[in-house]
Amino acid sequence: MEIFNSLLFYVIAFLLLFSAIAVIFMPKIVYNVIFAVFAFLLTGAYYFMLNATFIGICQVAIYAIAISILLLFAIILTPFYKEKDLWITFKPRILLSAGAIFVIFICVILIIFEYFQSFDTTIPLKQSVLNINTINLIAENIFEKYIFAYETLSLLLLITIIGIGAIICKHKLEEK
Amino acid sequence: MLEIFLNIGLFHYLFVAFCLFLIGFWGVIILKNTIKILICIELMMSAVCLNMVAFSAYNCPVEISGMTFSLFIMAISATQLAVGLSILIMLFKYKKNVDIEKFEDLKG
Repeated sequence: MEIFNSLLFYVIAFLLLFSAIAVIFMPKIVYNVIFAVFAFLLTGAYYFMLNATFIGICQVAIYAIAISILLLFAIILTPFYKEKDLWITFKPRILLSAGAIFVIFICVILIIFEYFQSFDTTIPLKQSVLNINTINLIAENIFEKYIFAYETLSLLLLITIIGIGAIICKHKLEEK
Repeated sequence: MLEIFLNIGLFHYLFVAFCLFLIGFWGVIILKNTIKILICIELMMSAVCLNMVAFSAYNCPVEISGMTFSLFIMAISATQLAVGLSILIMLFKYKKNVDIEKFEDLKG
């Protein structure tokens, strides 16, 4: 069972990173959105493996469905057919940024190895952890401990709706 | 040596999330299409969420602040995508283009 779980982890990791790279290098933008949805679904699978079922459901509902619909609407509303010119920037920037990112990768991996040597990071999830009902705990956290952050977030969402509505209304008035 | 690969621990999740974050970051640097750049920012956000959930599942499974905050991060990332796309659509009406290098009116 343990071997099955670790195999599942590696398969999901490979597919996730592959689809994330495909988001960058696919020339057509609709394929990009499809691969992005695939990557978000696979991240949701990780949440289910980590016993965060509610977060996984939210991930699938928000990222894989809502955000993809937003992106598809944006693609419909911005028709631009010469997609080859818009693929990626000129070559020196790609090579330079790849080099910089490789250096960051090596540095962070070295720092992580140095820092995590003091305690074992490959301990698997305990069986007792898998029995915790995380939904109740999340509800308690949101409505007791982080109630201020939650209310601020709802205010932010309200401001966003009003702001987007104001932008669209202003544009329509200018058209008239 | 084989145990490191067989027992999936916190480090493995952190490694995958870090790779995902770097891929998103690379995309933000090299891409030209604004919608693709927004998708890459979403990838980075989802990597951050994965980090938080992994930490909270492994380190303090009873008091799950990480999972709660990953919910907040999801809402904020959806908000920034909506605002970014609405600004892009408004700009598209003036410029007739989605290339981010054409939006250089504010360049000093």
